[in-house]
Amino acid sequence: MSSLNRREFFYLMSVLGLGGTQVHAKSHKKIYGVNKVEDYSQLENFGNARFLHITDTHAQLNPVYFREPSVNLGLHSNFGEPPHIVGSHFAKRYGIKPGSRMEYALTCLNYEENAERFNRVGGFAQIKTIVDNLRGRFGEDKTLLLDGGDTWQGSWTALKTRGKDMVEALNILGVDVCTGHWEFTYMQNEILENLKLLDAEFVAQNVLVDEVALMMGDVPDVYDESSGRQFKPYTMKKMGDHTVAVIGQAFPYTTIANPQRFIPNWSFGIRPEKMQELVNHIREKENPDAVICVSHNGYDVDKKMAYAVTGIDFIMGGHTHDGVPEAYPVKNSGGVTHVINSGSNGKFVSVLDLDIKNKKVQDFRYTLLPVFSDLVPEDKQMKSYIENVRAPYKAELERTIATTDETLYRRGNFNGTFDQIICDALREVKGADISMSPGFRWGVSVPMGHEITFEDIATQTAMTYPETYVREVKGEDIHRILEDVADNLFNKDPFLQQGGDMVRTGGLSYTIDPAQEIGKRISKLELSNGEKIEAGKNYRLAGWSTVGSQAPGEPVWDTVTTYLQDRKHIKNVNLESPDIIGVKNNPGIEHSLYKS
Amino acid sequence: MERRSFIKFGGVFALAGTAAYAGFLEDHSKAFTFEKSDKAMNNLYGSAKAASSDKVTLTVPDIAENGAAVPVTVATDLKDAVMMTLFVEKNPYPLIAAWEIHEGTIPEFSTRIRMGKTSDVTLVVKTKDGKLHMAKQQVKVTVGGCGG
Repeated sequence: MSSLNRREFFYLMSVLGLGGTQVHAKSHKKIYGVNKVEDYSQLENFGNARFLHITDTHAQLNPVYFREPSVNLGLHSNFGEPPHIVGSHFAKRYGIKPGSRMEYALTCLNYEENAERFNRVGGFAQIKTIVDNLRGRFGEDKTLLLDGGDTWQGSWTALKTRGKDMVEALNILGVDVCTGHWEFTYMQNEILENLKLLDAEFVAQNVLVDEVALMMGDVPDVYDESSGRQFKPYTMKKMGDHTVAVIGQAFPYTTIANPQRFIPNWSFGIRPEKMQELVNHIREKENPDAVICVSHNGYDVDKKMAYAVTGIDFIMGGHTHDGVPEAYPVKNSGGVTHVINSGSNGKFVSVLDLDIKNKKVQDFRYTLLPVFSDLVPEDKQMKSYIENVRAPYKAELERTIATTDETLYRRGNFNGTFDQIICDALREVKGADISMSPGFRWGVSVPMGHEITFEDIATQTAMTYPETYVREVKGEDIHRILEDVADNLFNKDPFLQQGGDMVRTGGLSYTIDPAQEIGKRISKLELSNGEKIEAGKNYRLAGWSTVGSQAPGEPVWDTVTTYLQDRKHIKNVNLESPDIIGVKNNPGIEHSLYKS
Repeated sequence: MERRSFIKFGGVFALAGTAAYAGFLEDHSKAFTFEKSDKAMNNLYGSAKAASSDKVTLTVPDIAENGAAVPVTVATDLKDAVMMTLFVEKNPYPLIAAWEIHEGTIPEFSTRIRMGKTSDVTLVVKTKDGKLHMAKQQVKVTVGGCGG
């Protein structure tokens, strides 16, 4: 089968009458879909080394609802390529049937009906059960569990314990190797303290200590003074009779996308040339049977890195929260590197089995395994740990703030309904013309008809720089901010994409042409009353999450709580999405669900 | 030697070196006053045009972590380099630095530069024969703040 390309493979499947089942090239034989708990145990064992991968769980210890995006545009060379395929286009490519559990796990289609039928996803007690099962059946000594980062942030308990609740959860889960991104939004010494409590090895080849800080001895626990690396760049792991290298790649734009003020002594970057030197060194000196990179680059950056750097067998990636049910092959001058990404919020566990012979990966099987919380029994130890961690905050978290007739979600290139609530709250509570909220990809969903608890608000806002502001801003500056953020999302060069979504706006309408260059994407900027935004005129702008210096206002969860308490019930949300030019045939948008 | 003590040692050495050569430096101060890089180039090199060269190495980040202090490393493998100059096209005064390379000097320097906005950064190396060689890369300066 390895000689068939994708199209031939699907053709063959349809000839054999297998079309419509979830069969992907190189997926494990017995797992075309998961519909009952027995299906989890039927995943075949393939080859002689198993990697399990979770990423971007964003501290969601308990099961959640999470709606996949209806807009995730791919442009230029990424047009129509994974992960830029959503909704019905996704269902078509991967043979997913309407009303199936796979449709619920992987797409935004029929979301309300599916959420009602299939309930929550993820949960660390459920993940623990699955991981233990997959490990036990394959062999403890031949299995490694990797965590791609964005684990210590995203919940109230993570914020209150400064990430420590998640460190212990990772220890109970038995994670072997991990890397990070939002981990770096705590203070330097808190991070280093947490890493001492973590059983797993934390690896990152691309985090360097500032030369002056290094010289002055400002940073403890520096891994290697001569390379300037704060953390161990890779680790060698025994897997049965084989030895594999696991390289870490932390989020390259941490100090740009998040505040540098918490970690002033560290410098990030993609550093592909250092990655290549490292892979060459490992290949020459360490005699590995396979080289794996646990990465927080984001999918498109991983694809470009896979092309630019040779000698990596698999990049197990995260950051962009893409649930892609296949390993994406990238040809480079040294061979092929496969890129995978394991979604977000604990919704998926990736299973990658390698067949290693003669110091080489001969073949593999890959499955993106959805975690359906109602099918998978909870692990008792993890369950009781989670209950204990939550106990001091339980009453606060479970407090109902309002109810909603609309499904509230964040994920997507443009405004989600939950962001709209945040933007509306900022405008109303702070008395502003316009509001802005960052295009984060974390934040789970509240299906229609459900109560909005304080915990739901916390999943959208719990982080270390939540302070709000109102300030006077010139029209030309509003334009510049939108252009700048749009370029971080839609730049032709993936190495210049930071992996967030477009900034969310309230009280503002605009038109965007994503395929243009910076300065030419945004037009027709108007206030929601139809008044044109004038370059030289001042507007009152409210927002939160300032990267430069700390903002003066109350934390945004207070703003949102005040607004929702006042409203009591959300009947409908007036979603202020922009008009998008040039995406008529783009499979990265589900037009039936796009409101502008 | 540990990196820390090496850097300290190197720092002292570099200072001493500068003092020793100071008396021989040409005065390039006028070139730093031009608001367009082509005018500064013209002041330094006359009508000579620079050609891209893989022997000229400019190491800058794709996106600046902090526009107020962008790390830059300049280097060249050209054996007979006599001068290196660094330009940031969009800065108010594009000429940022000029290094005279004396015989026996290893032509590799690191510094930090201030950048107000996204711009091309250009390194020009002049060799003994008067020819100009260059490397250019864009450095993005962004408002940031929306990472997933």
